[in-house]
Amino acid sequence: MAGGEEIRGLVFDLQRCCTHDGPGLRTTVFLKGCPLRCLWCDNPESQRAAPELMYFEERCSGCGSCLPRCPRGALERRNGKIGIDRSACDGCGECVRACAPGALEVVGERLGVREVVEAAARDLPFYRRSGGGVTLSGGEPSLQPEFASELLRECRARGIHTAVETAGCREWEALSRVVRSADLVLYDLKHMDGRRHEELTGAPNGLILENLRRIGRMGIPVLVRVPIVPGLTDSEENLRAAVEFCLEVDSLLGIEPLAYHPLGVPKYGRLGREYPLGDLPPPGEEHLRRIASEMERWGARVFRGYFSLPGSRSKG
Amino acid sequence: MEPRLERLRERYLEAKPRLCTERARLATEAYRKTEGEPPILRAAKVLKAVLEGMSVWILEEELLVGHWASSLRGVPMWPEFGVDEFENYVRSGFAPDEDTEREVRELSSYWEGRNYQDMVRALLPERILAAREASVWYWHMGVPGSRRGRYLVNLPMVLGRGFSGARREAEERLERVDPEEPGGLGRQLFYKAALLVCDAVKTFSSRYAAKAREEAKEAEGERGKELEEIAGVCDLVPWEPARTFREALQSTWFAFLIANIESGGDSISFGRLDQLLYPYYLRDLKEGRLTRQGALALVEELLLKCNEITYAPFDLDSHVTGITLGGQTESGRDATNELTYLFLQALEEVRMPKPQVSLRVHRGTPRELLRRAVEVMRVSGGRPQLNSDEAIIPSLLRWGIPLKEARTYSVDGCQHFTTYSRKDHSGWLNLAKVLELALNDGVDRFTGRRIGPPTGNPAGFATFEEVMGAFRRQLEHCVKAMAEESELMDAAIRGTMCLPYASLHVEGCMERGKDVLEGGGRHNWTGMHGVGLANVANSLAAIKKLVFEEGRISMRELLEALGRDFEGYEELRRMLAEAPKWGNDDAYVDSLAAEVVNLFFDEVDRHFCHRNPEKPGPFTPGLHSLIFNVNLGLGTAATPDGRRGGEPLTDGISPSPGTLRAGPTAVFASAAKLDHTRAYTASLALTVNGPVEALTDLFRTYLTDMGGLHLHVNILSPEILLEAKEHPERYRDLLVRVAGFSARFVELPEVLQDLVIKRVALSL
Repeated sequence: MAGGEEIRGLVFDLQRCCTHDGPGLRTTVFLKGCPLRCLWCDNPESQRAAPELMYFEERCSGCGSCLPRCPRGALERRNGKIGIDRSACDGCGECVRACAPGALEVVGERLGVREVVEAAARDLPFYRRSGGGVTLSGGEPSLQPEFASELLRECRARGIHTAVETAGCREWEALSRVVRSADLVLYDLKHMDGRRHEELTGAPNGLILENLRRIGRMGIPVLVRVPIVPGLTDSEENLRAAVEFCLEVDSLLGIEPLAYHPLGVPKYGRLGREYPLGDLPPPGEEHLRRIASEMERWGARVFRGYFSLPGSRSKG
Repeated sequence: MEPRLERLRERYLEAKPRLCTERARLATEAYRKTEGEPPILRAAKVLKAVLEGMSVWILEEELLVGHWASSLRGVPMWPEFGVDEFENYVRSGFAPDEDTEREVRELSSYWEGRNYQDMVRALLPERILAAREASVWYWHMGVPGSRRGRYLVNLPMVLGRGFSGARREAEERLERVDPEEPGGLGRQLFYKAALLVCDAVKTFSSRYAAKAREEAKEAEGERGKELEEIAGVCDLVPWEPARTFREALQSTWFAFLIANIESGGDSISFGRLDQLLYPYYLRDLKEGRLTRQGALALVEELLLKCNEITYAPFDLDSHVTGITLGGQTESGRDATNELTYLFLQALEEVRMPKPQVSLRVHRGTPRELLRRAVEVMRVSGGRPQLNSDEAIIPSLLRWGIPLKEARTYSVDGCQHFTTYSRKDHSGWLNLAKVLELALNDGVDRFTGRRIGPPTGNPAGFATFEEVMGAFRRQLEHCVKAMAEESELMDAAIRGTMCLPYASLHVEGCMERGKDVLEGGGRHNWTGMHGVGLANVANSLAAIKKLVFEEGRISMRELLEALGRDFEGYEELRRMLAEAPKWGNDDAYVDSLAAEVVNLFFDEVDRHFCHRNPEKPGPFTPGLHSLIFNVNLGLGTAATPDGRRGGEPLTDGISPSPGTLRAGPTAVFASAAKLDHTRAYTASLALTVNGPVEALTDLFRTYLTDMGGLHLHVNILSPEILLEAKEHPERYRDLLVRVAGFSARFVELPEVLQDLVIKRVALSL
């Protein structure tokens, strides 16, 4: 970054000590904005590429002190609580400052590369010991290619291992800028059937499959992650096709089946949205074990849970 | 675990702790008979009378023998050290029958006014009594009394030379004493007492040998043979050196048991059993006398037996016996061996609250060992706790322990680090109360009594620096007064109470011919531990930010809210809760915590303990609480971190329950900002859940790369604990870490159960 203004990115969370976003203990930086709308998305606040207001109704005292603070008149009283006109709200956060019980929060903040790197560097001793590092997740990091790639480069310059999580639904130019700057790519593969993929995520999978092949050809280590959503993605046919496709990827490290979980459901309500999957239960441990062993039988190296890569842990 | 041990374990689980007056009765008779004799001879004769007179009994199926009371989990009494608690015990129903009740009351009335606690009380000036009553500090002196315990049983001596060897040395030294040289007479008495004590030890083990032989005659089949073996072992040890693994374990148990019978002091510990027993284990395996399975069973029996050294139901069960594993050799190499793993396995299988087990971790510790330890923690109430050589060895060096000796340190009891050359004492300073005094012009908010110097009405403080200034002056005063009480306690004990048996174990006493309570050990230190660090740091951060920087609260308002225990000040209390909190890697509050710690350490470092007047030792500052964060919290008014008056204080350097926002690495990052190498101990307790491998990496980083000193972790989910509280019958053996020790969750009083539940729950 020579001279000019610092690059900023829209970040909605920064989580230390993550154990499920790549090898070792990691800090995960969640970038806001995603081209996909997966039905099971556990981070609905990651989807829109703009700050958003979250409303925790159970904390709201109904005092109404937020109402006059909204410059756009997006707030109103509703049944002793408040209602939000989502089309008018621009997430400016004026109301948040007026809310004593903390029922309002804005998700999404523009952060500079430097402050994110500083925050990530705090756990450097843990990264070294565990073979961990920083993971950019989302949303879709490649929607903010300049910020994402700069962030990854800066982390690397500090000796921090970097990973980027992507769903790959992005033109190659932007995506390649980002993945090129990472030590490891965590690549989501939601469904192998193009039409089904579109039904489940809102976009077809042609570009996604093509991009995965390209990453393979670039030689960047890639761990493919397949969401196991009961009844939607976990048919033997789909999983087998996914494994077969992945085995053709040159730099494939392995495949990680990711169990669907409903922990993100309450967030839909806070954003004023309906959760599309109702009360779909998560897959059982036995089912997951069977999937993992099937995948192994088909020739994949399967990753599950916390792991670290050989030789990545510091000694002594 | 073998079925035999499962059955033994069941008996320990079933037995309820009950008072046992046998020891007190025998001792009191002996005290009466020896009135007027020199204290050290008297103490030796008392121990001799107890060991000769107490019941000797063997539990069905046990192979290691020796009990400290007349029934399983019986609780003996030491009225000569204090009778304050006795009436309470009787009222709470710990006496098994009316005869015992009557006897306890008789003992109380005989010892009233002539016990050690009363002697100290008579010496204390009014201002010190007032501070003590106001919960400003707590000296461990009644029951359990650290002045009587807190040392390592000297197993190199016991196993290597036996008490016959110790007796020979005492004899030789006695011959060489010239009674006319200064102190000569005292030394003569010391050695004479040593002879008496060694003989009494022999009598005690011989009584067990005889008992086993007698029972062997009646016993059928296998058991008869077993009892003959027991008799054979007891003929030999601990009088002679141990030759086999089994003899070593029996000798270890006797040596430890008698230490506890002598003084009833807390935290008498075993030291590094994986190192000490390894040569016997290896030789027996090689010569075909032992299998790994056989060794495991004996170790498990030893761990089980530790659960009979108990002091009555709860507050007394903080009697902590320590076993230390792992660490380094004298030359700094990793000391892990097969027994290190075997002890972990035993701990995992026995699932009983005692003993405390500590694993020493350093840069050379195999990852596999730590991983195994984390697995065991899950089921054994956070044991082993983890201690870092990288922080502890430098702090021992700082206080004058030579490097080779420092590398062989052990954990005494819960979280004190020691070697054979010293016996410890400890007291706890209530840092939150010090802040209360600073915010109330030196006056106790609960009683209105003046405790500290007047430091001004804080309503008039114009800057945050004035708050810190008042805190510093109150701290200076309290540490000084606390040191003064400790010195008076040492002075009162010198020449009145003696521990001739303990003096055989603490190096220096035998050479100098001086009792350990008179400073006979090579090193004499006294620990002072700060309690409530997070309460103070969070309080100071709230004051600094809300009162002086943002002006959202006035000092007057804050003081009013504290005075009313936040009654009617909910909004203000909510603002306080939002201020920066310790444990989130937030420089704003972490720097205040570090400042408080440095001030406290500086103050403690100013004072010296004169147990050995010829060579004053340090007061060693530490940060841990045992369970005194609960006791001291009762006497502490509301604090500006939002804590209400009477609620427990925070534990060691642990964050305040419910204030963690940034995950476990942030907790460690905050903790690592304190200078652990200046600390005698700095205990960090967490409740966390996550994959074993991840937890292994997490703990290892803190302990070997970031300077962290200690970790005690509950790997549990709060849901399980809530359920256990609801259905105690289903969770009879659920173990949790309380504070420096582990306990059966369902046996804890509700206030501690809730504290364990509320404590930082983190998930990876």
